[in-house]
Amino acid sequence: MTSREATCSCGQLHVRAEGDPVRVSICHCLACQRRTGSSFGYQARFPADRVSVTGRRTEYVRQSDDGGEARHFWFCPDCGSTVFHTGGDPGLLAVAVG
Amino acid sequence: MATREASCSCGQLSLQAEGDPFHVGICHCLACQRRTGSAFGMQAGFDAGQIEVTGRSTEYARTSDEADRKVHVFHFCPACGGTVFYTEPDEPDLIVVMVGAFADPLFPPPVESGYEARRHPWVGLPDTMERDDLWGQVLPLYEAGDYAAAADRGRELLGGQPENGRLAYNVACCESLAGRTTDAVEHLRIAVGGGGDAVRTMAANDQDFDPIRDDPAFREIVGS
Repeated sequence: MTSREATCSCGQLHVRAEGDPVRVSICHCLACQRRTGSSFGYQARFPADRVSVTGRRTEYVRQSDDGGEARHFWFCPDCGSTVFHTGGDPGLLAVAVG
Repeated sequence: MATREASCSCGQLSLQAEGDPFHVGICHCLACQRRTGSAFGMQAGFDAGQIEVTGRSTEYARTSDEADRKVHVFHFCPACGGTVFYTEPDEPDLIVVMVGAFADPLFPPPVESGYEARRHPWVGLPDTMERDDLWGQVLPLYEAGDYAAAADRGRELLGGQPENGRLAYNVACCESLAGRTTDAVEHLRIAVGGGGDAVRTMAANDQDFDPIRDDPAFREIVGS
């Protein structure tokens, strides 16, 4: 099965995802713009049990504007890259594609 | 003059920018992809005097893979991870702000797209944008110290993009080092015309212009 590795800028925090994502999407919301610093967020969602995470990470919880579930973003405390987030989709974990 | 505010996701780290950026670009390099988590980075260059920063930030310094080995220091919020701006220790007058941090879809659009070789192929861009880094074609000659050949090649590329201020600036550097004062002044004038005071300051502090520093036309352009 395909296995892909995603890491933060400094390489300290990484995730390994087995198999293909169930959904890949981009999002132009202002929260994604602020988090990425770019013009849109870009994420690949995997079943959470197919993803293993290694390294230290800091959690940032953001309440959704649309009244939905809170999102939990995990970033590297050394370089600031947000590598994945959870919440919103039960059982799924979203990895930042970049 | 427009005042804009940029901030991280949680709002703890923010900055105010007075006036417009002198340059807005996107970059498809893998480092920008990792930092943003998105398909490309999008950055706006300001003169440091235009920016006032508020809040705590953690610094992450990264040395460029490029031959210049330039150090970029990224400033991110320790509470939410949002990178709001970066600085370059070699360029104390420069602050580059992540455009997404302005959360403003009407922010001045990017005029340049760098590292096209790393572009995710589904990303389409308008034809009006300067594509790829033409300077990359000149850089090896510049680094080899063959300034005359670098100036020749740069001039040729500028023929197709006479308004490309960044290329004009770099070509002016080559011409200065090659002893072509008149050409250097002409191209620096184009660069300053597009980039304003920030480019003036950059030129005033750039050692590549040491050979023409006492030229009256150069002094007039940089205002020294």
